[in-house]
Amino acid sequence: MPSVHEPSPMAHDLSVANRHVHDVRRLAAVQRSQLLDTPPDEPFDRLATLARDLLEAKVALVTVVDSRRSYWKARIGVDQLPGERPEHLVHVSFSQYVLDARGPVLVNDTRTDPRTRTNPSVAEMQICSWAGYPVFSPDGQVLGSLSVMDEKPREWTERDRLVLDTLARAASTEVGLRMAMADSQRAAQRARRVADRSAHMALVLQRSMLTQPSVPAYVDVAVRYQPAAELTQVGGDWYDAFTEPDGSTVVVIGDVCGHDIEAAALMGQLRSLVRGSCYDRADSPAQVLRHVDRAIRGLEIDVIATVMIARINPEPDADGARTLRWSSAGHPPGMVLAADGTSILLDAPPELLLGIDPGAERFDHETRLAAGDTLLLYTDGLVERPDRTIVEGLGELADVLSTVGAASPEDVCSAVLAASVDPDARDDVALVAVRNRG
Amino acid sequence: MTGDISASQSSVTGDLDPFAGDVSVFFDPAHTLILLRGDIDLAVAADLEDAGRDAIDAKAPIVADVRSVNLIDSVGISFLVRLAASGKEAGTTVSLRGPAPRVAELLTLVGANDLFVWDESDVAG
Repeated sequence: MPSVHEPSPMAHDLSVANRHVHDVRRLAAVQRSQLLDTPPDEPFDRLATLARDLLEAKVALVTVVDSRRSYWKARIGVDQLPGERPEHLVHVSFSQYVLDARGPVLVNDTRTDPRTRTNPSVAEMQICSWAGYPVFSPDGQVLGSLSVMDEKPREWTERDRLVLDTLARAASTEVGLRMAMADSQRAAQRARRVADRSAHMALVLQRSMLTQPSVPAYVDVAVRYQPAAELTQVGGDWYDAFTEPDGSTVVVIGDVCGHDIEAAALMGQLRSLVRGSCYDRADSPAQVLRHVDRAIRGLEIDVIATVMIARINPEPDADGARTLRWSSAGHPPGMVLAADGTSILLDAPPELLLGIDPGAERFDHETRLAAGDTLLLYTDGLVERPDRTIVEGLGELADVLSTVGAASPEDVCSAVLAASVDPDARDDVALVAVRNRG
Repeated sequence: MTGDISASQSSVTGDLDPFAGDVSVFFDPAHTLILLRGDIDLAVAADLEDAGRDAIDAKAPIVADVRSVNLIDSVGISFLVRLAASGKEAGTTVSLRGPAPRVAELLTLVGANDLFVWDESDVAG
């Protein structure tokens, strides 16, 4: 039989309680709880009130204990004097006993109990009986206690214990919910920062690939890339225009599905693939699209995109008109704008976008680009908005074009963007306008 | 049945943003239902990817209910098109439960409407 050893309260404090008070994991949990030095808040006040009322006690507290003090997160039944801080130093607090026990502590008479009889708060607060239950962090650390105190000694009943146990658990749950909420808010903030950075990189990548076009002297060209209002929606749209060795002009517009840095990177790949497949080959636009679609499959490029390719024949007819040959893989229809403001839609039965079926049927279409006519190709952000159908969007685009028929490609692009892109545009827009000088 | 599901879930997500996108998958021996609601865009891209993979893996005919889609962008459209292509490869039928004129318009525009069977009957299932 080991001898019964009753340490003095002070020695007890230093050897055991202090070890729990200063436990680094516990202190970390207290800090994470973000309850210290915060104003009273309703859920904890409600639990303390309930504890006091159900037990008909004088005072109820919810405390949070750091390395130095026991902070009163909720205090019911004790008035705060002006200038008084709602806290006790740990060594005069009652919560220290709960920390020590890592469980409930019930004292019937604080004046005689060896744990509490030397605690100056007994006299100061006129506390004769005390019962405290631990409030836990989600990772099982004791943050502090939910406690009730009375001016007279009392025998804590089974019901008292049950009530306090239940309310202390409710307080622990409340703490857990708050911490989970704070965690998820921090995670969301982090995610937003990462997303912003990635969106910015996408924009830089996008811009670096959208070079100024080089076209023959018989056409004027203008290009635009306008990112979405929300930076996170950048990526995937492109325009291109270049001169073939035979003098023909190739105009390309495309849109890689998705709006992020991955879409921007895939756009770069696809743009190169289309250029390489077009350049110095006798293939028609439809043949180029078929070739690109097969390459996407064969090279295992994980991309889905709408693309339209148009080729302008370098040889004009007697009136300066040139033949425009085009093919579209699921891309919104291009427009041809005449100097008098009339515009026609390059409309044909839609053909499948790229990246799905390399065997999809593709057709070429031809139209006449008269001297002074402007070919306008664009991505869906221009005509697609939540508040209207695409057909309506195309109608509005035609209305805008009717006012700028004879304008330069630069002015056509500016007018179209100014009129059609709403300020909180969700989608980015790429535009290319090419005018046949005749 | 689907009406009940969306009603019970809207109380959870609907309070914050009525158009917040939501992707739910319901497995049934007879078919796999993918319910798309709200804005189907980049914000739900990861959910779409999971839903598509799980639905194909389930090997039952796939029904994508797009009646409650508020807005769909290229992310959503490419999801549907990929789903149809994967379904075809795996020998699984993919049908769309409508009506959903905006979805149909966009699928038509990208030349992909032929990949789908539309079911616009009122029968729940």
